[in-house]
Amino acid sequence: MVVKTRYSEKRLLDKVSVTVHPNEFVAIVGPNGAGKSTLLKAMSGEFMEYTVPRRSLRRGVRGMTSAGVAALGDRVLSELPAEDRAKRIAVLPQASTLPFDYTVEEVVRLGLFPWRLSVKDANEVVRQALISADLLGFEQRHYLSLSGGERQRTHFARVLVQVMPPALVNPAFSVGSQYLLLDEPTSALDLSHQHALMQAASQHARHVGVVVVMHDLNLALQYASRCILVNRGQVVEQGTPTDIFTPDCIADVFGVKAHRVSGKAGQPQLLFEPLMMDRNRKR
Amino acid sequence: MRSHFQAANRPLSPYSLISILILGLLLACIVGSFSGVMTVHFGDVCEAFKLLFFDDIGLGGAHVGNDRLNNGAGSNPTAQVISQLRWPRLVLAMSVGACLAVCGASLQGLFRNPLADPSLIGVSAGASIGAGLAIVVLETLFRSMSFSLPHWAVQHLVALCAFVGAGLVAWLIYIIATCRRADGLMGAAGGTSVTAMLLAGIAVASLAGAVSGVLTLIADDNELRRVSFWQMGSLETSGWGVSILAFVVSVIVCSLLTQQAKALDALALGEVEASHLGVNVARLKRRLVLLSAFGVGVSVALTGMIGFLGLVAPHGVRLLIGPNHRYLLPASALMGALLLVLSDILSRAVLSPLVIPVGMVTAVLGAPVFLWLVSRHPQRYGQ
Repeated sequence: MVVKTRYSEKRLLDKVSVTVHPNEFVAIVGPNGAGKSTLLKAMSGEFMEYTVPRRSLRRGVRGMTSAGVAALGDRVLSELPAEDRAKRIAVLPQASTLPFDYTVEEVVRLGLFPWRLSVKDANEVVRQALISADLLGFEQRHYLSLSGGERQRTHFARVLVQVMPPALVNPAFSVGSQYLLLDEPTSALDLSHQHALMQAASQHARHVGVVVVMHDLNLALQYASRCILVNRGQVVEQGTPTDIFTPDCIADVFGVKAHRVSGKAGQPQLLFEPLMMDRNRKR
Repeated sequence: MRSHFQAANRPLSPYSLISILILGLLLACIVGSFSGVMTVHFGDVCEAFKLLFFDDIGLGGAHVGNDRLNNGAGSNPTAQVISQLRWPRLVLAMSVGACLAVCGASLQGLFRNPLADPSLIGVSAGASIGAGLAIVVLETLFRSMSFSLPHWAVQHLVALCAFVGAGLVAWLIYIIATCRRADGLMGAAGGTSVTAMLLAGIAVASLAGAVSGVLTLIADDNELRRVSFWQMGSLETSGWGVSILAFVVSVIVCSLLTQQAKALDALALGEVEASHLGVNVARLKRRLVLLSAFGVGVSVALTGMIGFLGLVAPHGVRLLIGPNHRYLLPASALMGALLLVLSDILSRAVLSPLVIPVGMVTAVLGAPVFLWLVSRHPQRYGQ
């Protein structure tokens, strides 16, 4: 998958070019407002569909025009039919609301929308996704009665369902390279579920390209095969997390002093020093 | 963690609810044929069947007046009343009820909001503006040209204008009420602003009030009666011609909207999420607006403003079997049909032999439900 973007006027992202391969686990990290989610949305093809309404452009109100391409293989994303695109790219947004009281199982089943599966296959896919998101036993719970973390896991299971059929049910369903785009999937999760979700995602990264926006650099170190560091609308660094997360680089981008220590099995880990209250963030 | 498990508190399975509703509808039809000013015996109903399907005045009798009832060559007048007045009225009530309920459920799906009722958000008012203007313009036009169209053609023209009015309002309100973030992108938490939706509804309703005010000024006595009945919503227009039109429209609208059930479920997640799931969101929205405007427009043109049905029926169904649109839409249609038939029986029985306009009955029953809904979830509907 190749993404090239440039936004005029507001410059959320400036001349960014990113390539993601299937079987990669890519973490996008960076400070708040750096353009991580915008990059993810550009990858999902969202901007090509939802361009600015013309009236706000005419009024000159914070209009944003987008220029950029997202391509899957040799095809431009916006030219793919909606259902084909949905079979290949599943997107988990930061927050989703539901106006009606669906059950967890009904929400997860929505991920099957682009697929035509037999009842048996559909049940199997949904069951596997529920296991991956640790939601067994929650099937009949009402979505609106769930906690924030449980809701997040429900949506994670939903996007898993969306890319699972080729690998799980029948190779004949194969549609080419698939991608899972997750925007801060661990933000509401407890420690054990953070790791469980990352493990589930990296399992899928064997045959699906996984792109995760995240804030926990240690999680990125542990699970990501590649990391994209974004700051002020630009890609600052790309490479393996171990190479990128040097104390200098972290001080430069986040303004936080970091130490690298060797964790268990020689895996590097980051320790951060508390900030002084009066210390200005280094820009 | 798994100790949280609790069974879904949905008292009924979809299929049992649908069977119960079908049974209830049959029962209501039987009660509807027997209740009224005239006492009816079983034999009269059998004779009405014979009259309807085997005699020449059958379904073709679009216009039933007293003359026709008296001319029924020596046949049973009770059977005539049943076959030419009560049954078309039942068919009209069922069709309009089903249509309004299914359009209400789809609009709620489109707006992602359980309070979107066609009468509350101004879609019905838009239809009545269209129909009212059509009546005024058509009547004066024909009077000036001293040329008269047949009654049915006028009725279809009025229905068409009502459809256009309803469609314009639904689209307008959707654009006004759908929140867009400052950067012009649909928010992930999309949805529509309830406040904007209801306020727009008030504005359109007062516009409709002005149009019908003008109508009452220029109308003669007979027309005035018709207009006022129409504003209150009534089934007095029924006759086989009107009823069959309503029936056909309601079958078309219900079956086409039911086909959008899966996409409506996906749309509940939000527009962006739905498009990521492979829904063609622009096309879906266009279809929903057109179909529900068609359903509401024709209903309003034929029976006037019957409120709250599109709110109460889908909400009742959601409480019983959940929000899954695959079952919600057909069950809402049945529930709407049943509710309107029951309201009609009630409207004929309460002040018998006077007939209360059925819109009054649905308002009296529906308004408290609406208030209860709002008071139960003030934070959910308050923003």
